[in-house]
Amino acid sequence: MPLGLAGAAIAAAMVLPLAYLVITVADSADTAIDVVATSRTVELVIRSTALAVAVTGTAVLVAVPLAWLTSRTDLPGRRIWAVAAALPLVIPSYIGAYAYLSALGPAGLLRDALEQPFGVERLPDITGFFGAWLVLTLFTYPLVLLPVRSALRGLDPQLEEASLGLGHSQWRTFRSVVLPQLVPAIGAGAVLVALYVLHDFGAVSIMRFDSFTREIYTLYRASFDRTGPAALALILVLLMLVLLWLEGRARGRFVLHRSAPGTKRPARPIPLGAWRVPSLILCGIVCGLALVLPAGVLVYWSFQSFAGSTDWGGTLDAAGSSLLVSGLAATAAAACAIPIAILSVRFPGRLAGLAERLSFTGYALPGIVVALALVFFGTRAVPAVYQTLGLLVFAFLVLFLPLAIGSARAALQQVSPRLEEAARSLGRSPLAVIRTVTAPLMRSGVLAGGALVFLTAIKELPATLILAPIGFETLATEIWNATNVGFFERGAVPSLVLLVISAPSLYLLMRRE
Amino acid sequence: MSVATASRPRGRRAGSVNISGMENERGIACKGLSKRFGEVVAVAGFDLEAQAGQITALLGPSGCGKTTTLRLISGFEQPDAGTIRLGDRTLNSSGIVVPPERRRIGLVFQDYALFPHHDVAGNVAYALPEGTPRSRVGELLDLVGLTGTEGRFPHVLSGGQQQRVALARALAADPEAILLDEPFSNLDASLRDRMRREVRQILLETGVTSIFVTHDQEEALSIADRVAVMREGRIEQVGTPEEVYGRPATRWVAEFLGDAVILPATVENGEVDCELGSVAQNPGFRGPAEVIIRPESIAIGASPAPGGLDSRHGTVVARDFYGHDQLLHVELESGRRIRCRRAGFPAWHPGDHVQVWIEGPLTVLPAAEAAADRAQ
Repeated sequence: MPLGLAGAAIAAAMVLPLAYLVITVADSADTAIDVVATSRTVELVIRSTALAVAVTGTAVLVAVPLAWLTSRTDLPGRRIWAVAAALPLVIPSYIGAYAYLSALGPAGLLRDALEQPFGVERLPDITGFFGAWLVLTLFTYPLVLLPVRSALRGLDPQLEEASLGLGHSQWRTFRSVVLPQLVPAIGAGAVLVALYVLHDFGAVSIMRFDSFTREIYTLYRASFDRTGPAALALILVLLMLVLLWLEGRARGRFVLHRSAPGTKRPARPIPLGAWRVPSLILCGIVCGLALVLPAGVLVYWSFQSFAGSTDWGGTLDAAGSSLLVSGLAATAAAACAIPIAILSVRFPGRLAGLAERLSFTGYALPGIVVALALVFFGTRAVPAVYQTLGLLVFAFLVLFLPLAIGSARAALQQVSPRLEEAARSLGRSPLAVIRTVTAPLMRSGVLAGGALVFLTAIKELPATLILAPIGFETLATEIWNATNVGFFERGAVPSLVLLVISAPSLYLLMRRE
Repeated sequence: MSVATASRPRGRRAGSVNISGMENERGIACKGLSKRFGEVVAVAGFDLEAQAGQITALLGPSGCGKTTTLRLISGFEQPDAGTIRLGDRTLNSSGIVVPPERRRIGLVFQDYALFPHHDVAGNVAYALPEGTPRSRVGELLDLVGLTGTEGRFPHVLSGGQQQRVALARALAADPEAILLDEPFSNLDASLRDRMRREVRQILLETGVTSIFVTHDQEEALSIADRVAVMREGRIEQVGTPEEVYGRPATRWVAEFLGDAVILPATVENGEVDCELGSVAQNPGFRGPAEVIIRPESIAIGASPAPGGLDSRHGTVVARDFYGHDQLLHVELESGRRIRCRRAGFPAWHPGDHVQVWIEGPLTVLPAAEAAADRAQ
């Protein structure tokens, strides 16, 4: 069964980084234990967890009111707010952090502006926990907003009308009828936010907050001994697994609450009355902080860099590199997603389930962990691949294959198995059926999945930093370099280019909601 | 073309343009088929012989295992026990499993399963054995009355048209047998009758052995040459439509296939005696019995039955008038009420004193057997 073989090979390849990480640590277990068994590690766990909890909490607090305001009320300009509130999702956290640092940081725009007239020389420091928390909240809350909004649209308005008809107030109705039904969506979004925070490398590094990912990177850069960072990476993976395990348990319970999707009749918008102005102010503040401020800063720096010395050639090269490596990753992911999706949808046995779950390994692995594992793999096991583009593309494949599988699966689930049976009864072998019926009908889903991988890969930072061959600069590494050395205007044009390229990913994500 | 497709076994007619031949002398024989899914027994000891070139209906209530049987015959499920043969080829028996693509059994699905990425001609051409001239597509579309629709895509076709395409596609593969799964259930009532006649005509013309699954008694009786009534995973009765309707083998078949009047009776000296009179019939046993009579086999008149038929007194107590016929509820002298279906005219009315008698076929079952059947 060639399909099964392909699936097994892909699944095995996806597990390779994690397996190699475990092997590396096990190889020098004594050193690993020495590095890990310190109060520093405990501190890291606490810091990372605290950041994840804080960001997730605030993201929910921001997202739920915004979702409700933009989907169920007569908020003026509701449709525009609806799009604007979701847009920050396309801004990678490191660009957001870069924009904030360059605006409000110690050498930022605000200080410059205040220095002349008021003689302000120092601003309160925004780096550290506060900066990381602020930036990550602003650019991850849409992960809660989108599922909550689609859940709100799916609610049956009759339930609310029944509650109002019983004489309950609007607020009590929201609390006792609407909110409980939103719990699954809020939970799903919150898990995404928490995962994002634990994965994140760019924002915490730029904000100089010592979370796991930053510590791993620093250790990796600082020493030739790879055991320390590997051991830390493994602990981070454990942390992610705990989170995913909690999510799995919670999801089992949520399913019971989930109401049937689709409403018979659109709900009547709820009049805001006197709350109209405060609601507008809330939307304005959030969109201002998450969208207008970073965009404004980027545009400002871009003009500065036009006036000065824009390295157009460098930016163009970097854009080309970004397109190349993301394109390769997208193609590979789309191709690998087909057999995995067919196996899991059409042959839902235990082995197919295992292959699919293994292919989702990357979902639990932060980019920096995958990159580190592949460095070990490249330097020790297969030196020929180290410092090649292929290894970077493979890292992207491990990280983003789940996106492509999800999309391909969804497309295949729309295809009736009767079609394939009809083809077989007409004399075609199973492989010929896949070629002539299944694959053509999955095409749109596979393409969408590939596009999603492309748009996600192009924004990737830590794996690119660690695995890109020497001299291979992408837009993401250009921005990183510029921020690191404090030449803020150098990062602006690559950031804008990146945002423009990756904006369509939001469309793809929203279409899936 | 893949290797597997190229090595597909060829029939005598592969590549030819002959569609009218009766040369396909191949029937389907299932013996002792059983299939269970976990705890659920779907098919249990299923025996059926579908005669070559005939249309066999597999009729039963939902959940009786019809569709599973169809999937066993087509090869998409494997039986736990039993054999399936098509003509002189064994498709399933211990150690032998012929994959679906080598069975030469066409399928027409309830939802037609037309390929959405191919137009009508593409759907039909997909099924053509290698080496068949493309002109065959036109011939097949002609056969199903769809000439001129070659370039249309399935989603713009009506239900009836989609079904014809599905049929043409199944025939294009030059199958030895065709299985149809609830083929008419997605059509609206007015179209259904016409499609039944047309599909029957096409199947008979091509001489292919066909089995179709349905839960609709009328459908089974009206288009099949033979009806196999299925219940709880096995065949309850097989026969011509007239046989299974007029002489049901069990009380369950009688009630599943239509309205039935069931009366206690006694069999003595070649006479069956019940409340509607004595009928000369020898069921091969003596003693207490039960008779099953279709309401339309019970006649009613103002005076005793003609031709010396035994008749009894009754009183019309209620009447449902349907236009083309009327259902009369008649109370017999014992106080028992029976139903009697007559043409719409002449009209009878509650209160009319009438004579009733049996004028059609009746089924006589020993009382014990009937009781056992009832207990099931």
